[in-house]
Amino acid sequence: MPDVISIENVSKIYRLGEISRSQLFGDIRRWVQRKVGMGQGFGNPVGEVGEGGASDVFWALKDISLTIRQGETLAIIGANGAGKSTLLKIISRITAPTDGTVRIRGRVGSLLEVGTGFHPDLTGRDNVYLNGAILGMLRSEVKAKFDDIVSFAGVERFIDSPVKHYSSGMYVRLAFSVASFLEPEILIVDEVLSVGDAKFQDKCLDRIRTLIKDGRTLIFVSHGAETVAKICDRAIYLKEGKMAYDGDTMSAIEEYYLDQYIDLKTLDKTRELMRESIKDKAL
Amino acid sequence: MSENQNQRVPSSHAAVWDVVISSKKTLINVSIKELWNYRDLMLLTIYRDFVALHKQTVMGFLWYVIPPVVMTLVYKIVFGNIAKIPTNQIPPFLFFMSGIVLWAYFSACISKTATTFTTNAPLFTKVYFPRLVIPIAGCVSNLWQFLVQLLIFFGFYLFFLLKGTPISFSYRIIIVPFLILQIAVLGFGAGCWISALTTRFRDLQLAVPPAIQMWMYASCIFYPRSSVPENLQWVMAINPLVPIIEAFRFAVMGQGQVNIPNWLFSVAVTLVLLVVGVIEFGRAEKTMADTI
Repeated sequence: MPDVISIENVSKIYRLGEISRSQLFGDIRRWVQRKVGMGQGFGNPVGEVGEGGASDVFWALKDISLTIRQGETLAIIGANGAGKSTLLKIISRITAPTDGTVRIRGRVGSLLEVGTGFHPDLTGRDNVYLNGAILGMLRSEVKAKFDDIVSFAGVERFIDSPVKHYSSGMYVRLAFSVASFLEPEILIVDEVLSVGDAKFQDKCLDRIRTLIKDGRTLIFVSHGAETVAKICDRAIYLKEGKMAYDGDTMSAIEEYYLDQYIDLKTLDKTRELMRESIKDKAL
Repeated sequence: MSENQNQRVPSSHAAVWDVVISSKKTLINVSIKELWNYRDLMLLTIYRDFVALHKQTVMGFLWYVIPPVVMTLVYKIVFGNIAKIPTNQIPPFLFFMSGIVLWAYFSACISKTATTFTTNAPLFTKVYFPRLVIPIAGCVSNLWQFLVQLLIFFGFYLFFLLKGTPISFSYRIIIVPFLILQIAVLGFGAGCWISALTTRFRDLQLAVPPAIQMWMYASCIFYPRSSVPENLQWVMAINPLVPIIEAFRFAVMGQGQVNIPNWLFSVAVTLVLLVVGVIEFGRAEKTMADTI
């Protein structure tokens, strides 16, 4: 299988002082915080928390290299602020790396936060087209998949009402549906599975499995080790912006849990789930 | 981007990458081809703006008409009847209304473009698409409201023409579409530059609205250029909007004058602002997610 993403020595530095040097207030606030010893920088752009005080430079990512082949399902795990979101943001072209290069083949679709770009006054139908276009689809492409999108979300009856009258569940289902039918070569899924009810979550997982079967590459970020174990066959573990582990999912989770001092009983449960999912795959 | 993906040789050695993301700073970070790929997003954004503007307004369309007409009447009373500002044989109503309508479009374009990054931050920090789509769509969306107002203006124009007021209708009117385009490009270019700067200097957000207002006072909206004292004529000469508004009044009503060198200068400034604005916008695009 050919490589679809090649990440070479990617680093991302946030200069805590420079972010909004122009904004006097922010500077003063940060300075006071540092003096008082509250430590954690506030004006920090992506919510990544650095150690304040010691330096004005914060390495969100440090020298990450990684190659992802077509059809691979890669999980990115790590604690809050380990650089997971930063890495995804670089891959999905939202922000540029400070150093290094990312090369991508194919279309990248991000399911970063479902519902971004929905307009409350537009009908479900209009929003499907608008959201599809935001995600890089042409109108004709959306049109071809429109019925599938609507029936997957289960909002047929309401498709011509403004989405502001939707329940939050309907809203999220429709948004997920649009994004998952985008059928990009590379799909980035970030924590979206924590939305919707259990039934819909299962449906989402099924949808993701279908995408994987179609040979699409998946990059998955989640705190839930169970979900990761269920769908990913490779995982990287990021720790303070550095690559701490790259290999099979189970070992990565193990490393992560050991660092987090999580009860190993939980790990056993995950291991069991993993076995089941392997059985599933075998069937 | 990759419609021919299936025919690709499945070998990583023969890799042809679709996208290369690097830290390297390139001068031009805007691709026309990519914008074209997102043409449907542009159209749908225009449609969205249109729907959003009309939803839940009882009088809808009337809101395009009432403000400029009321404003024109106020200007006519304040500047025409009280301050007695001359309007060069042009009926004061038409003189003021032409200025107000043209200015409204310019100011809508520049202020909407200038806030692109700040108002769309929630979207821009989650999904990638060529950001220029949004301000381009914005300037086109504004066009609708402007054209309705322009139509109202020509309604009054016709009324004055039939009444026998000394305004002349001539072939010169064909220049009007070009003037409108220039206004849009000027507002868009300047707005792009400002929006790129606001990602680094947030203070600008507060400085821009008063600055735009000052620009209005310097733009011949409620006075003819000929009434500007000699020692302030240089402001008229460097303000790229002045020749456009003067040219509009001259082309439509046949009164006043147009300073051709000034207008050529104005076209040059418009193009420079467009190029610089788009380049700066493209550069800000790469890192705005970190600073906004």
